[in-house]
Amino acid sequence: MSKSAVDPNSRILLTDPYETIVKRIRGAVTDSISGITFDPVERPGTSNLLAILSACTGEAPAVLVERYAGSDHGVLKKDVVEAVEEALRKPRAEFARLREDRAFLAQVARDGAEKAQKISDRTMREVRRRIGLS
Amino acid sequence: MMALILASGIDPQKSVIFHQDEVIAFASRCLSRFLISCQIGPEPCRASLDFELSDTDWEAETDDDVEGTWLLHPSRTVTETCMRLQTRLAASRNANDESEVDDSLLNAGLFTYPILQAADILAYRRVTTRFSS
Repeated sequence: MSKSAVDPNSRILLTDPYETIVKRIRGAVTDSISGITFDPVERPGTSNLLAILSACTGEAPAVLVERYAGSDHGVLKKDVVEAVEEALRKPRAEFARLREDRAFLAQVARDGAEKAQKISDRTMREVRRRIGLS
Repeated sequence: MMALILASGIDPQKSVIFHQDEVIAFASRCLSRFLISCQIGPEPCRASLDFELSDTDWEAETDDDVEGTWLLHPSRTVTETCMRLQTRLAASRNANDESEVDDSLLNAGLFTYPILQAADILAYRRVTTRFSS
């Protein structure tokens, strides 16, 4: 799990502000090969940026590669920053709103716990029956 | 955490979201896991331990040394296994090398943790689960 990696620069959190996203993407390791190509083995850094962009925009890396064929890493990074920001804007705002609504969060947790309890009770009754304890 | 899950788009109407510690009382949960663990024979034990130890969180050995990620291996003697366990333990404690850890840090939890993971999933009758890639 990437969140357990020691280096905080290795990840972007859902709650990270725009400035942090800029810093992380700008600091992302790339290579000195000119042009943009998708090659996870030979160009892991560049391919990582393309994969992130692809995940945010829904476009396949092959499509992105054509668009950025004549660009450099700087241009690509700038667009990755904007794409990540766009993808995180809504969840980040929603998180800020939800975390203030303690009562709602507690209610969701209570409802969930009740449903989960029912399911696990049924499982454990069956486990005990099959083992021969009831 | 709950706010983050909801903010990322998980719908509580469709998905059951809960705090694990609010579901089963501690004693009952221990008993449940103990009962399940008593059903686990040597083969699944070995398999789950292998899985546990090949997890990326552990200090990885070379990629081509597949056998190296197997702590319990049929061809290995007890002494060899213990030595490898010590190496794993050092890695899990972020220690520099084996000399910084000793047997006193060993506990049954290291072996039975995969059963706990399995029990926590099976209890809710899920057929699919997501784990670290």
